[in-house]
This record gives sequence, structure tokens and C-alpha cells, in this order.
Amino acid sequence: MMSRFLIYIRQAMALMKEDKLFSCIYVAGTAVAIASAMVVAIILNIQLADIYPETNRERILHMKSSFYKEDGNVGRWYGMSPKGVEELFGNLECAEAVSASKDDNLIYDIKACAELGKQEVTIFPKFTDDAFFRIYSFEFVEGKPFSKENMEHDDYCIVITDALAKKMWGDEGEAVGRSLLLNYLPYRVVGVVKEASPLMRASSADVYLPYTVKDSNAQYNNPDNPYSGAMEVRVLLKRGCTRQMLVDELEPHRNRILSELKSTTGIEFRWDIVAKPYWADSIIPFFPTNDYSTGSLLLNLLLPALSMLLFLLLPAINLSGMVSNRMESRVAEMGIRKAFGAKKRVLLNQVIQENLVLTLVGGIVGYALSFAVVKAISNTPMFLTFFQRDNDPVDNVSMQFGMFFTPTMFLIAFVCCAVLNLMAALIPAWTSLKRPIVESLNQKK
Amino acid sequence: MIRLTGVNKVYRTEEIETQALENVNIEVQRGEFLSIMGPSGCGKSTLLNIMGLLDVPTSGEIELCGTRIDPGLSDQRLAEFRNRMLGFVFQSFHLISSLNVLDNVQLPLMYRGMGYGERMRRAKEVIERVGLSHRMKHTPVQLSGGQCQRVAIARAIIGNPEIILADEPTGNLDSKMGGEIMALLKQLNEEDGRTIVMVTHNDLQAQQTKRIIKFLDGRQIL
Ligand SMILES: Nc1ncnc2c1ncn2[C@@H]1O[C@H](COP(=O)(O)OP(=O)(O)OP(=O)(O)O)[C@@H](O)[C@H]1O
Ligand SMILES: [Mg+2]
Repeated sequence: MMSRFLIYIRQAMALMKEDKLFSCIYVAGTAVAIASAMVVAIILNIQLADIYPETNRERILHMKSSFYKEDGNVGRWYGMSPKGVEELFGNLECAEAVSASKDDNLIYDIKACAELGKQEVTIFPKFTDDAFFRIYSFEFVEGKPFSKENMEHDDYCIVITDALAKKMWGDEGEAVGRSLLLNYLPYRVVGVVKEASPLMRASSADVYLPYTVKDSNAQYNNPDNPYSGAMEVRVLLKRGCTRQMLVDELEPHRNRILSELKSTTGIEFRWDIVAKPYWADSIIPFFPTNDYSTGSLLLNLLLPALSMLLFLLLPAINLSGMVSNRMESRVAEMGIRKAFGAKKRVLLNQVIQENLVLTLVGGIVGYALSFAVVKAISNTPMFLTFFQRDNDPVDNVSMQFGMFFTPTMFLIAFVCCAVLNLMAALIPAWTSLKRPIVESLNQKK
Repeated sequence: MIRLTGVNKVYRTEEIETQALENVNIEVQRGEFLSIMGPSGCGKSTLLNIMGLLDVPTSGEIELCGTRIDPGLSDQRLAEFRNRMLGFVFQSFHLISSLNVLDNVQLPLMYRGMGYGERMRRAKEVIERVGLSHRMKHTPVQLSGGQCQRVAIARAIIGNPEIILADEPTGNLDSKMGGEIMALLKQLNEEDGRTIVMVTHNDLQAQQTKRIIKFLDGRQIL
């Protein structure tokens, strides 16, 4: 088997040398097809795979809370107050860490500068808590996260990215201990993390601030309802715990809080708490649903998968024509092989495997090309849309190796090659091999 | 060894119908060296192709090495028969141009699923037998016609088939080379006892074989 495959490779090499133009065009065509399919795959990979610092994605849940007044008046409040977070999520069996943060910065721009009069940059902040750094696996280049005590004391301390530190102070040594002006208020840097790519929407920011700082507006709460507010909660499940277990565990707390609300305010509230898996916030949902099962994820992946197939199919039609021409010139060879005992099935395998060698060469080129394409378009609003960052101040999209090259991605690239190869070669090869032997032998080359 | 009974072959194209073979009955014994002669277009190649299971008769029965070849036999079974029982030598050699001598010769063994080392060992043996040991790594275009036909003969015999079918094996060669090829075939017949059926236009060569059959317009006349 192996030796036969080696012979096919040799034969494929010989054929490549024999017909350089064919091979070049074929490889180029394949490369374009694989590159376009792999761009889709890379986007999905970034949305779904464990990539720094979101290396526990499987266990991360995004909690969505919404309160409704049931008195006929339309009123709805998303998010929770720190009090709400504390009372609902305070003591959970199945949670390893619970973090509340305020993601968006809709209120105003935040400008950072090292000292008055120095260069100012608009930054993307994240108002969060100490647990945030237990949910996401940040690598601290210097210092450490701010602590619970920092938050209790309303300390103006922050964690910043290495990229921002470099922008602010260049290579002037440690950033920890310095103060950074955010909208002209000084904050003490307590930690510097290796930057999370802006494409990691849940975890990325330029500056991480405790939500207890006054500017955050994070502690806003609804006068009618002290549990509703501006915070979003992330839960890191303990290993072995499921989403359902968390939902079940929250239920009594929810009921307790609801009845307490009724007795203190006299208002009947409805309270929906949804535990979304991380992916529900990272992929673009084509079938919006409240079903967060794996089946639902797969359903949502159907459209990107179909688009990948389409990207492969269109070039495959052209490539198939080329293979067909090529087979025409090999009819006699196929006749000879049959005359000496080759079964049609064996020859079909041979043709497809030989073609696979060419396809794989194209696949490697295409894979590299997809990397280059993504790199080139990574700053465009169109690309950032896929990561819901098109409205944020993102100026440099840093990317990691793991976004492009992982065993899974190699496997996907290989499957794409195999599928493309079959689509391009199966029909022409079979048509050609169906011809009667005598007719093939008498074919003039 | 080979028995054809009531074999007919009709080619139908849109306008005309050609009766290439008409009620052919032939029996070839083990160890025979038979030549088939006749004018161009009388059906000699068609006959040989049917004997070699490269083509199917319109009607009639074929028996090879005591096995009746069922017309409905699968591609797989036919391929196995060709691989084990038959060796072909064609007028235009039919070597695979992208493969070297060694790889061309080992082809039938490859389709038998034999290991690479053993295939190469046997290929070298038969190539030596046809006197081309010094040309093993050459490709067909680097060889003369006579040398190509020797390679083809080596390929035909590597699998030890009982039957060798040769369609004008010397038709593309000058008389000296043709003579050498004839000598080689005779040797295979006499020393190895292989059954050979050869189509030829050359009276002298035909006379060197043990039996001659003559054809005219698809019928055996002698
Ligand atoms: N595929 C085909 N379709 C139609 N007619 C065919 C086909 N193959 C052969 N024939 C016809 O069948 C007859 C026998 O052909 P065949 O090739 O067997 O002749 P031959 O005796 O081998 O001739 P030659 O000595 O020139 O090789 C011829 O009249 C030929 O035109
Ligand atoms: Mg002929």
C-alpha cells in the first residue's frame, strides 16, 4: 500500500515535470480554492478555538440577565448590579470563578497618556474585577492583577497590555508602579499582561480597570430594582460541571431574590437569566435561537461550512475540466494498465491519489496564502465585523500562531484538499476509465 | 488451452454494421505456437483481443485454461484473468512513456499485489533474459523499436502467464530486429512451453510457427 502510494507520488512528479503548464495552473487554481475556504476556517477558528487568553472557552458561560416589569408598562433592564451579582452568584458549587465586568464603553472615549503634554491615545477599557484574571489565562509580563482588596478600597489601579506600556514608555524599563493618566486622572499600573488580540472580544482590552472606580458607571443601578445594573457576568465552570447544573443551582437564588424584590418594592418582576456558552457571543448567529446545545452550534456552523464548500466547488468545476483534458492524453496508458490486470477501481484510486499529490501542493500554497490574506485584511471593518469589533477603537490587530496553525486547522485544510480533489477528479477519471480497453489502446496520443 | 466456439463480433456504428468475426471456432493446444494471417481488416486483431479478454464477442463462447469466460463477468474477475493467464505484445509496444524500463516491466506484478522488492528482483531477471540489463533505468523514448519490443516481451512474461498473445509484434521493426524478436518468442515457446498466438503479415515468420490459420473477411479459411 505504502509503496504503491510512493509510486503514485513518483508518477505524479513525473507527470508534473512532463506538463509543467498544466501543473502550475492546477496548483494555482487549487491554491485559490483552498485559500478562500481556509479564510472562512480561520475566522471560525478564531471565534471558536482556545486561543490566548481564552484557553478555557469550553467552560466559560456568558450570563445574560434581563428584568421585566409585569405591570403592563414596557420596561426592561439588561445587566446586573454588583449587589445582584453578589447575591445571585455568591456561593456556587459548580463555578470555579465568577467575574462581573462592563464591556462596552458607550459613554465616552478614554484617552491615555503617560504625562500631561505627552502623546495621547484612545484606549479600549474593560471595567472588571479580580476574578476576570482567573477566568482568562493572561500571561503577566510584569506585576499581577489588582486584588479584591484593591476593589474594596476603590483603588485607582489598573492592568495594562504590554503593547500599551510600550506605546507609553517605550523601553524605559518597568511599567509597574508608574502612573498612567486616563482622561487626566492618574491610575497606578499594577500589572502588565501580554496583549490579547482584539479579535478575542470577550477578553481583549488595552486597560483593565476595577469596576469600582468612579468613572466606570458600572455600579449604576436601577432605583426600582437594586439587582439590575450595568454588569455582565462570566462564569468559569468547574471541570466536569455542565451548563444545566449551573442553571439548576441558580434557580433557588433567583426565586429568593424575586420574592424579596416583591416584598420590598411591591413590584412584580419577571427575571430571565440565560447562560450562554461562549460561542453564542462569538459566532455570527445565522439561526438566532435560545437553544445552546452542541446541535445548535453545528446548525449555526452549517452556513459557513456551506460557504466553504461553495468556495471549493466553483474552482472544482474548472479543475475538473482540466483533469478531464489531462485524462484524455492518458487514455492509452490506462488501457495498457487494464490490459495487464489493473482493476478499474485500482486505477481510479491511482488517478485520484496522483491528483491528490498536486492538490496537496496547491493546498500548502493555499494555506499559506490564506494566512497572508487574513493578515492583510485583518484591519478592515469587514473582517472586524466577524469579531464584533468594527465599532471599537482597534488600530492594530495582533494575531497569534494558534489562530492559523493548529492540528485541527491542518486537518481541515487536508479535508478541504481531499474534498476538492474528489470533486475535481472523480467524475473525469471515472468517465475516462469506463472506456473499453481496445478503444483506449488504439487511442492516438 | 484456448477454445473459441461460434464467436461473432459485429461493430455497429450509426450507418454501417461490420461483421468483424463470423462464426469463428478455434482451439489452441497447450504449448502451441500459432500464427494468424490474413489481409488487413479481416478481423485478426479483433480475434486476438477477444481471446485476450480485452474485448467481448457479440456472441459465442470463450474458454481459457479450462475456464469458461462468462460474458457477465465483473471487471475485477476479468482483470484477474488477464493478469494471471495472459501476456500481451502489441505492434506499437504500448509502453508507458513516463515509466522507466524496470517500472514498465513490473506492472503486471504490481496489480497482483506483490511486494516491491520481489517485483524488482523478478523484473531484473526478465529484463536480463531479453538482453536489456544495461537499459533498466531508461525510459521508452530513449530506446530503439527493437529494444521497446523486448521490454514489452519482458512485461508479457514477468507474470508467468500460460498464454502470450502477440499482435504483429514485428510490424514496426526492420527485418533484423524482427528476426531477433521472433527468435525470442520461439525460445519462450520451445524452452518455457508457453502457448503463443501471433498475428503476422510475414510469411517467413509464420512458417517458423507450428500452425498457421488464415482469415478472410472475418472467417477462418484455412
Ligand atoms: N471499434 C470499431 N468500430 C467499428 N469497426 C471496427 C472497430 N474495430 C475494428 N473494426 C472493423 O472490424 C474489422 C476488423 O478489424 P481488425 O482490426 O480486427 O482487422 P485486422 O485484421 O487486425 O487488420 P490489420 O491487419 O490492418 O491490423 C475492420 O473492418 C475494421 O474496420
Ligand atoms: Mg490488426
